[in-house]
Amino acid sequence: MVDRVTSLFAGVLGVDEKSLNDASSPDNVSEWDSLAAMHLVAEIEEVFSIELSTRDIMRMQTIGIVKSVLIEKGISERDIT
Amino acid sequence: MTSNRSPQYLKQILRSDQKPKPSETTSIYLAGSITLDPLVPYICGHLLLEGVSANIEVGPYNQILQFCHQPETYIDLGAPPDAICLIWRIEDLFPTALERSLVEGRVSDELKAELDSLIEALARLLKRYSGIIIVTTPPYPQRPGFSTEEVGQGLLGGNIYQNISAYWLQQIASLPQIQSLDLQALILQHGIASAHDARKWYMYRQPYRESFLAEIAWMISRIILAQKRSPRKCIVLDCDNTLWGGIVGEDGITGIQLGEDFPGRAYRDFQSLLKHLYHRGILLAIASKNNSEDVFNVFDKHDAMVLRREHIACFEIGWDSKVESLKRIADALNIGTDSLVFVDDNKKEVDEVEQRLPEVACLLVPDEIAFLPEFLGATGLFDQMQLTEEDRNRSRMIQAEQMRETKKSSLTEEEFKSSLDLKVSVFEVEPQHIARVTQLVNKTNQFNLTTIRRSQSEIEELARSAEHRVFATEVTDKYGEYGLVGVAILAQREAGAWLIDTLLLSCRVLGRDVETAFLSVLADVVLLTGGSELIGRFIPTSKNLQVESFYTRHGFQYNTSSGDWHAEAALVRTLMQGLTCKISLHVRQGSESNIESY
Repeated sequence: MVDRVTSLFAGVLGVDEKSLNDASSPDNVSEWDSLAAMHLVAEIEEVFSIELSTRDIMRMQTIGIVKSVLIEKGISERDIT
Repeated sequence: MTSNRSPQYLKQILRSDQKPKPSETTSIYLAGSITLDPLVPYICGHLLLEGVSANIEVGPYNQILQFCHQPETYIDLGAPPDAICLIWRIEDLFPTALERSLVEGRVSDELKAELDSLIEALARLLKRYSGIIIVTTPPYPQRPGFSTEEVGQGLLGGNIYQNISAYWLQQIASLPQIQSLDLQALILQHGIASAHDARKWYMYRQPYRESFLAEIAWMISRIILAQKRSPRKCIVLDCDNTLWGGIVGEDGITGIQLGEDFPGRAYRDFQSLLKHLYHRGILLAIASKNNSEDVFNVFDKHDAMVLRREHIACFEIGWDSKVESLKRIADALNIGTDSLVFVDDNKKEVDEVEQRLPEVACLLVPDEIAFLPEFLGATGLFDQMQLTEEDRNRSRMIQAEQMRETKKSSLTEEEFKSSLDLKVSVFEVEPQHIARVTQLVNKTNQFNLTTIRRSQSEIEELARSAEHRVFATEVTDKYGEYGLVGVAILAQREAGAWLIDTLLLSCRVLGRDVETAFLSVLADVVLLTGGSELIGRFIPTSKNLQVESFYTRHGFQYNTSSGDWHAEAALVRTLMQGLTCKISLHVRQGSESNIESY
């Protein structure tokens, strides 16, 4: 079973969960365009009930970084890995 | 209704495997001075929950003026979307002119000219596109100098904004076909601070929080739904713990809660809202399990009652099931149960009605009584884009109808008809009739031969077209006016034959021979135009079976190859001779108008 972050990305991007990993980024996932990035931020904020700073948002260039940002925000590791 | 549809819930609905099955579809084109893509899932979610599947396209960022001037480069005008929604802000479209206004301390001429250019662009769009156009009112600018938090700056920003807003409203009023979405009011209701999200503005050129986008989406959905559906006609109310607190049968007239103090105040305010709806033409009825004298006692004698007996079109008080009461109320008022809204505090009653009469909109009185006065408004059940004269007079007409009914019971059918002094006037529609004609075209179900629904701009177009003629009929009798109650659209066919594309009458004039009078006058119109033949068409629906034999009864012959009904106009015209009512016709011939009385 994949983790919650990856499955959230798969849902918003409309791709198969198995095609994504921590290294997935806008450079290697064509569905991850600027419009998708906007939907991803809205979804992450709602699902994890957090508010991301613009600094965080600009940093989040891979799924792996998104996970570490969430851990920094106090989301427990168990919840996202 | 809005509050329990969170952004997350709306998105889940769209992804869910068990999403509701839509019964109709619609298409919408969004264009804005801000990024609008995040609105899409929320509009789709709201509409899907109302049974409509929406196909939404978002235009390129900040090209509203270009879009209005050259819609053909953005949408296919041959197969246009059902609705176009334009969302704009002053600071995005006209930033320099806005800044200039702040410097000058008034709405600059430059800004007025810019606003005029947008109005002009919208007027041009109206000529090319006949669907629904929704345009937002300009919200309070989110720019330096307009901050609501600046102390000591006087009221300059606010003052300028008020003037801009007033100027816009005055100008947009010249385009009544446009549906205004009051974005500023929506922002105020949500709170300026909680509607906006500076992060999203800077990252995506999208200034609003997701929760607020869901609210905008709900307003857009409501406008679209109001065009598609007729509003509910009647609210059926329970009494105990709905119109007042407590149980009148146990607590007595002095024991129930109704008055100036909470919770009595909340019930009173709820009644005031109901009275407001009554004045807008919504009928009120009572379905209560009680002794009728207890209920009437409260209506007649309780000082704090806002609603009185005269506001209630029908009382069903007894110990029968609410389902039976609702059916009887619909019968008595001559409306379908699908026009009813049922309000009750008893979950069991509401569940039973929901199960056995799913077409009735059921509302459970909120557990928190403080929310009672506002909970009806947010449902959108009574949304109506344009209030017509008929709506405002409906309650008076219902009373006239009750007087007629009393009279009718003592006479034979024929005696009754001739006692009414019925006058039927048929006329070619003018601009002031269009709103009511559109309303009838879209909501008449029973006496409607073809049930072709049309938007207001489509009707306007037909009224202008040389191949079509749009007629309406107004009826009065000695008890009062029935108002504008019928519509007919004639379409010219080859060789002096006219097709009756639309023929409909409001239920309230049925059984008075108005339909025969109307038809015979249409035949005369055809003769006056030099034609000789009328073609009737019947398109069956689940609700219009009562007119199945309408053309047979009026001497038309069925033509099996065309599937239509044919008759000599001269023959149909003679039908008016047997009628007791007075008939007149008012036609336009070029710029002349002509009145015929028969």
